[in-house]
Amino acid sequence: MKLFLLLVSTLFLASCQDIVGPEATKLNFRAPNAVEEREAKLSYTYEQQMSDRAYVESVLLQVFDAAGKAMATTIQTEVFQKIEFGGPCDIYAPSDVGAAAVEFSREQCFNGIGVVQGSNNNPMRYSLTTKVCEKLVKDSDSLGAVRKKIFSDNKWKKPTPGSIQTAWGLFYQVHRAEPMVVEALLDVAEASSGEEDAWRNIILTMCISPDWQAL
Amino acid sequence: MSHKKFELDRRDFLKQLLVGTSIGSSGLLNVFLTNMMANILQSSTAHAAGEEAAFQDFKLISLILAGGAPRYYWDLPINPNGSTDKIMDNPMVTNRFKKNSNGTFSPYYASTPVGNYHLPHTWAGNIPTSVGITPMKNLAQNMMILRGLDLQIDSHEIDRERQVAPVPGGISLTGLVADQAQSPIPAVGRGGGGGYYKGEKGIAYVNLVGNNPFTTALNPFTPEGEMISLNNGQIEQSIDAALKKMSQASADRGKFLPSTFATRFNAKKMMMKKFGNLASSFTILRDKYALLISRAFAAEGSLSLMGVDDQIIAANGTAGFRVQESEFFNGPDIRAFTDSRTGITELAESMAVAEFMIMEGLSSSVNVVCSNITNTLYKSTYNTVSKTSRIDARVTHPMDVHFTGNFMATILFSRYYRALSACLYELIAQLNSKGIGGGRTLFDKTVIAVNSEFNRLPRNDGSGADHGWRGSNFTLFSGMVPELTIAGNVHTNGDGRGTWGHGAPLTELGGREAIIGNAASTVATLLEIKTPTPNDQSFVYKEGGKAKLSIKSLKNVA
Repeated sequence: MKLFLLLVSTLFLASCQDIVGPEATKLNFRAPNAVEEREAKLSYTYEQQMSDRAYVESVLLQVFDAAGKAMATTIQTEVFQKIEFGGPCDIYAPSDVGAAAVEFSREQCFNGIGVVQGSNNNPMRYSLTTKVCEKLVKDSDSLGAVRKKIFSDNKWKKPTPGSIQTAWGLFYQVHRAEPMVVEALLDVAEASSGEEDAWRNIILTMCISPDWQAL
Repeated sequence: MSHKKFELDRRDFLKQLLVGTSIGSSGLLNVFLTNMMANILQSSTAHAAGEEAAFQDFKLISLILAGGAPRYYWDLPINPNGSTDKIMDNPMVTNRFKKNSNGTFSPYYASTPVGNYHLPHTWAGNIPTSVGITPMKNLAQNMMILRGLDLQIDSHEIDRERQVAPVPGGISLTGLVADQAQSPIPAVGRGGGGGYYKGEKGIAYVNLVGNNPFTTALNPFTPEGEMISLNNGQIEQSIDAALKKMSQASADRGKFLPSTFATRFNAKKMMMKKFGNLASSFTILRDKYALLISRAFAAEGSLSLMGVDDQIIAANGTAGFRVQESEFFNGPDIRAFTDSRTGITELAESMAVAEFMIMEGLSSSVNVVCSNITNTLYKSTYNTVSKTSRIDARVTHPMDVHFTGNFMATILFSRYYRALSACLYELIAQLNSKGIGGGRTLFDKTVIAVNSEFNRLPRNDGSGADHGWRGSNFTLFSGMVPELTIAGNVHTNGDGRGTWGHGAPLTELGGREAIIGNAASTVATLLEIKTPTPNDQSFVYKEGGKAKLSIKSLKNVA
């Protein structure tokens, strides 16, 4: 009887996947499974409204204390000047004080875009986020700035649930990391070599996680 | 055409390209060919590993012929039903020459049977292809012509915009297609298309400027150096696992959508793909189309159009031989007006962008613009105001052809549309080479809309043509169009200029003339998206995935 119920349950779940899940993609993902493929399909609907370029720039500047440093230019280039993060922008800004000058540079629309865009979920902004986050955690000054915010004595220590929650709060102000997320981040530390490397990879994971950009 | 055939054609094309270049006769041939093959193979490998889901949504390629091309040489048949249609001649609405008894020539309008209709004489000729030539009429197999559209406004800029955004500043067809896109870069454009782009979801539009547009398009997905979160074994896997836990937690919380994480995973997949040699890939595709354009303008051999390219006509400097305001062609043979150096600004680049972005499954909405005719040859001209001559001058001829007389326009535009047709035929062949399952090809999910700002209003003295905004055309190519289809009424004597395309009332629209909104609704129906102009009836409905006419009127109205 148990075997029969197990079989029926399995068949039911399988059929639900067929019904509920959209057509499986055939993307060349490294570790495909049904759940990932279904999520991958969902992502291409681009429904989720996201924060704009100024917000993302602001978070990264503050988390990594990058204002006034070389990494600020990187963040501006990779985030603020990319229309993939959405507007707002003013198509007339460059000509406010003549063709050769820009009076309000932060109003500008970049990449030749001629219309003001909203901010939307799209893979382009996440690729750009990944690239800028990787640059930030590989920069010793930027990673050091995070270290100061996590550890009062400014020394790397082995990650603990408490210190991970502190780091988490740099990106996520409203909710704490769930226990299973903390466990997974400890696994990231486990896969790393040394305390600094562990924190680099943990901070990178938080930085490229997209929900802190979601509205 | 199978995909393998597509690869073969590309190779054949490259051989042909190389034979015609200095490289082809040099010792660099093998190196050059090998490098290009490597580029293509690399792209094809990525393609073969590609994202089938990205091919399942509908695609729109909008090509605007900026400047306002005259349409009665190509997609405005003024007697589509043949001899049953009454027409009134205008000396500018011409596409063929006849020799008079006194040895002079006269331009006139002629038509040729194609499918169930009669199209302008230009369709009687051949077009160049990647592997040889083919009759131009083969391009018309999946063509839909909507004629007699009143644009209501006379404006280059506004009417250009209205071809995709019928209410200026409002939602565009390109934006609505991007809203339903399943491809990683929903909307791209080149040549000013961004100004027309507006969707409902605010999805970014990527402007592909410059000589390396594919690199620009894929820039967000191009990894820089060694990346921790990519191709890094255990660490990469642990990061992915943590992100999946975050996704699950966000779903449990119900506050954030896991789609953000899924999109990030897709971003990662794109970053892991290997689109190599993007700059040279663009060059190869652009040159492929440029060669087709060059051959079309040279009009040699089998590409010579009977009654046009085979007539040696000496110019006499009168109105019909006008090339610019106050400037007249006065050479011994008007066929010299174009040759193999003649081209169309941004056409080859536009087609390359369209082919790459659609064929590689990268984008669903492509908006491109081409414009003036480059390197026309003013073999011998005389300016009656400045009293100066030009001999063997290479000139970029404006597409806003107010002052191009009927002789010169007939030569110029029969070749211009041969070039355009060749490019479209090649693009469609590529789309047809990509199967998407169920016996369908990518062309069955794609609409190619080819439009100019307006038609031209012909002058009664044959000296040029002005803005024909009350009689525009809207032309589509799609696998969803099962055969050559034409609809729309025009006046027999529009604006007192004879039969040139001036829109006339349609019974299906309650006696109103068709407008650009009706064309937009037609595109929306084919692409199964909402129309930006819901109160304007579509010319078609869909049945079994194919378009059927709901507005069938096709008359010349007195």
